[in-house]
Amino acid sequence: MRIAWKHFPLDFHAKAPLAHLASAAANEQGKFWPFHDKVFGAQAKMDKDAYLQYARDLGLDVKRFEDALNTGRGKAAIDADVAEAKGLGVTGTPAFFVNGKFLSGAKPFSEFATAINAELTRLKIPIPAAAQQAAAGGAPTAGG
Amino acid sequence: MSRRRDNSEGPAMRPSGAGWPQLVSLAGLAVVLFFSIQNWNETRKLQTTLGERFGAVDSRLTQLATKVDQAVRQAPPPQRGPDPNKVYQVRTDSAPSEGPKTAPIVIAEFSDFQ
Repeated sequence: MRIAWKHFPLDFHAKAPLAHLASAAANEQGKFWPFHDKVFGAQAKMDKDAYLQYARDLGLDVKRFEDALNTGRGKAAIDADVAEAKGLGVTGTPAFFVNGKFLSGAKPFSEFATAINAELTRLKIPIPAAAQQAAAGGAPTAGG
Repeated sequence: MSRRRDNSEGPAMRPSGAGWPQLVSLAGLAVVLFFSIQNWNETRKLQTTLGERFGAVDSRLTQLATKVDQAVRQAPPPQRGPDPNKVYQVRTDSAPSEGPKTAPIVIAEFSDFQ
């Protein structure tokens, strides 16, 4: 399974554009997800200084990171994601597409399991017992 | 009774004065009657016109209500985001992602930081 991040900064989130640019700058250096986790881990601090600190913490080339931020290098990719989201009719976040099938909002884990299992069935891939249990509403188990 | 007799002497005066007040009151009554009838007629006319108008307004309202009902029935249900029964193409090649490139299940997450 692969999870792909698509930027969709909502218009009314004033601090979102810079955060998305910073994550794109981290992505340049292959550290998107660790950066993503840092931003989500400290929602209160969403300014340039915090992002530069995260870049230092993650061992990034801070000069390159800052340059990407200052010149808005990731903006084209972000704008493309936003345009794609709007083209798909997405209006809010988070919005998930499981193999192209839309799941809106923060859904319970079981709904993801159901959607994933349906895809596995369609692709004739055996479904692990734990995944069947998860789709039935059970909590995900270790090793499942 | 003697008083009555006194009064009965009155007719001698009639041609000169007693006829006028009666005539005047008769005329007054006629005028009042005339105006009442006219007033009643006007009121009836007004009632008829108002009745017709209310009828027209009522039928227009009924027509409008039916039209609104039809429009509501014909309008598509409000679309709240993408159709969950469709399969969409979401570009994920250049997106930051976790998991093998060849994974059979790809979840694209449109999200924002905040």
